[in-house]
Amino acid sequence: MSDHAAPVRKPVHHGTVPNAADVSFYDFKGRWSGIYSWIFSTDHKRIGIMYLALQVGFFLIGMALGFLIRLELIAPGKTIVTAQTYNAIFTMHGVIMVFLFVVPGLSASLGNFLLPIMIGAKDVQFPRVNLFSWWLFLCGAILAVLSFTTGSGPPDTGWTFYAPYSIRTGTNVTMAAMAVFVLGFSSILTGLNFVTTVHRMRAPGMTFFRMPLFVWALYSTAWLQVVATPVIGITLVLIMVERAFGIGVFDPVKGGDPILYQHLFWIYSHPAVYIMILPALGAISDIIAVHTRRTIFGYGFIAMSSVAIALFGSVVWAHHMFVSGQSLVANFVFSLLTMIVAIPSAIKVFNWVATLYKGSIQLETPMLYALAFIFLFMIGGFTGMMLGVLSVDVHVHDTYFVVGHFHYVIFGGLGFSLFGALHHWYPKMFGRMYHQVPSKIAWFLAFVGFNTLYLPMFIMGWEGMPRRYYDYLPEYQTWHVVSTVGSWILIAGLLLMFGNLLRSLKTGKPCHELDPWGGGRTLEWTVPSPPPLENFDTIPHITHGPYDPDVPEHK
Amino acid sequence: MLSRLSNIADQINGPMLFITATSLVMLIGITAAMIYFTFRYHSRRNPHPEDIHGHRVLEIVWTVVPTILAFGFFWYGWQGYRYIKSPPPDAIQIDVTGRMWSWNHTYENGVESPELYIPVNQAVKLNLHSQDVLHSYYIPAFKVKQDAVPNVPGLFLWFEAYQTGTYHVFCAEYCGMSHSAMLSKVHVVTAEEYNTWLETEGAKVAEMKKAAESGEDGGNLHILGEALSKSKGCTACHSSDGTKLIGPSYKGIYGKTETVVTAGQERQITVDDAYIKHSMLKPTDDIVKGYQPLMPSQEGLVSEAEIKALTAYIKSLQ
Repeated sequence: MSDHAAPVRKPVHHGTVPNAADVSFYDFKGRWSGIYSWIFSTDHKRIGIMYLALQVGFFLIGMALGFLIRLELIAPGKTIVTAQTYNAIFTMHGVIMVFLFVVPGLSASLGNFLLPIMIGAKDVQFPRVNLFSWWLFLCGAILAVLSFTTGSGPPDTGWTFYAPYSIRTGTNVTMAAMAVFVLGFSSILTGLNFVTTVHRMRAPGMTFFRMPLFVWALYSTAWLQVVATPVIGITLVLIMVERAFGIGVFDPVKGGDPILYQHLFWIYSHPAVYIMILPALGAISDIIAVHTRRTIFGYGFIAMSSVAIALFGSVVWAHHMFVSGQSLVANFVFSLLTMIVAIPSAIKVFNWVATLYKGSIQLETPMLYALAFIFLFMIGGFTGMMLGVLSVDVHVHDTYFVVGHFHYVIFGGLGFSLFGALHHWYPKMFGRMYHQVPSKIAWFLAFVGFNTLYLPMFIMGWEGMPRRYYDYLPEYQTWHVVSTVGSWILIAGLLLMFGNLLRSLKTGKPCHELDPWGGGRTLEWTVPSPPPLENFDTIPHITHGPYDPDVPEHK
Repeated sequence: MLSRLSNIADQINGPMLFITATSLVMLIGITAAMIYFTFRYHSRRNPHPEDIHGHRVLEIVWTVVPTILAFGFFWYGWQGYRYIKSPPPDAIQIDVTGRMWSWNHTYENGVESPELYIPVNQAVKLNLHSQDVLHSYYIPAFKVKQDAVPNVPGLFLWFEAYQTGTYHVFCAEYCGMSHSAMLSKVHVVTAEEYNTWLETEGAKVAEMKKAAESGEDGGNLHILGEALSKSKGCTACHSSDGTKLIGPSYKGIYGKTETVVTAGQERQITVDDAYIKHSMLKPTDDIVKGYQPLMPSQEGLVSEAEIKALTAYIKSLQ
């Protein structure tokens, strides 16, 4: 793979040319040194990287648990673990992946690193609150790990903690709920910080409609984090209270209402899916714009579709409950609203594909992930429509169809977007380029493995294989075996990808160009790689849209 | 895949086929466009990109078309769903109770069965109840599913089976350790076979009642107890051969001195008729040490006669 020779080297006119005094934020000598220069840093870039480190760590743990799930399911009956252990494993897989990887998602890691730079700010509005959020996240993560390793055994409720089972089980549910509660506060504070930052810290001339699409997505997500997360906090407090003091909120034997629990849980957890996916959609827009080296098609429509997804995504929660026994009116309304969410999602896909038209496409690794993302996200979306249709949902609800759909949207969507974004902004964050060849092999393995793993789930689900089943009837085995083999291919690809990214930190080719891809037009490509402590020497003055060329003769 | 084993399956296959076909057309079309553009406008072939900011007509088209499709899908699904929720008034009514981790089916004449027997080509309405946590009654072959929620009345599903045979029943809502073992079967039989079965089983029930009431078991009461232990789902957690499952095994337990935990205090008891009865009706009062308080109360679910039969069965397992 040859190096990237950008046809047009962009003149730096936003900031100043970096000089010897202008050291990167890594080299900046502050009050602390060593590990303390990280864990006490209020620099949004360091905080972003610290989130990333934790998230990748937990992703690897979650992946190992997923590997065990698939291994157990390679044959009916007991393969490697007992039923109770299996139930604990899929609960831990869900809790870790959802609350410690995808909810912070691209927002906490890459969002923290890039949001201030992309709007021409020196940091977020509340840098110390930002650090506090990270510490809360760490505390929540420690609590979660403790809940798996101490007390009366890891929780066995599934990540949804459905009552009344979650109230009756003897396992360590209370501490796991506490962990999610603390993580929720981390998420709320980050959301608050981002909303304020976008409102208050934009550079002169950076109007809302001159913000990059990644910023639009982070902004929409931040609102969801602020508005929806408190609901899960209070719901899980109610679970803890009920477990500790026997107050009947959700357990019908004590006069509680288990359906109320489902409503409260999904009022958060469905928007949470959009908290996870929106920044991913935003990142894809930016990756595509850079690697096609042209302006994005339908900027306003993509920006507004993020807002529409956030709005409508907040009012579809009860589509998780079509067979729970809720009223026909509720089912009618929530099915209809669910269909409406598909529209802004479709608009995004069409605009991305149209952006490829008459671009000058470079198939670098980030672009490969972006294209794979569009494909996987479409499958996730179409199967989501099937689940949203009332009559079809009666059959496929709580089967592997749902598991497949969820992984296509969250893993194929958020996961692949995050991997693409990591490669895309890697030189900006670390001042080095990753090794090209292994990154492409890893992409290929991950893409093939992913589809081998999750595509059979739609077939199994349609044939009636229920989810969260430790044991299954022999007729489902063929597809389970295919799926398990897929998990091995996927994991090989992911390990190669993470290994390559990690190794490149030390051995990657130094890359200090402002814009290594030669197509970046947003502000992060005008600052040094890696950026200095305060990002900009002088705050830039913005005169045009985010994806418009800087130089008139460029066109 | 699109099997027509029940009237409900018809309502689901239609929309599924329609959405799948539409989705495949769009998926293949968009993917093909993506691949074509990627080749055609690769930087090698197209070194000079063109900045196109958008196209109003295109935006309108690809907003309106998906909107129409989405509303079409919705309406198609809603029509089917209304049908799924409208049982005919003359349907055969069967009460189904879920508990960790088995199903029980109760017929109008008092017959109880762990497996479901129904006549072919007749509408059947299952009224769903749960004794403990959430469960969900799911017959994949007939594409019917409904959650059973404790203390929530009026939950049901209905269908008409088109072919005789035996089909699987799953629990689809996660309910703890043996969730995946909470299986049952539906036996779809001819109307004559169904009536014969119902009468024979009904006679057995009457016989047991008589035997238990008269106190003369004639050595048979424990056999009835054994049948009851299966139909009531006891055997999901209590073995008869000494194997430790969720609860203590029945084998050798009668007359044994056990350490139980009562309101947090350990004490010694002897397993006798009174203790067994109390453990069925108020199972969480005295928990045998080393076990979890998981068993749901059987208050109102077992009769005095049935308790006698079950106790006789436990007694017989020495």
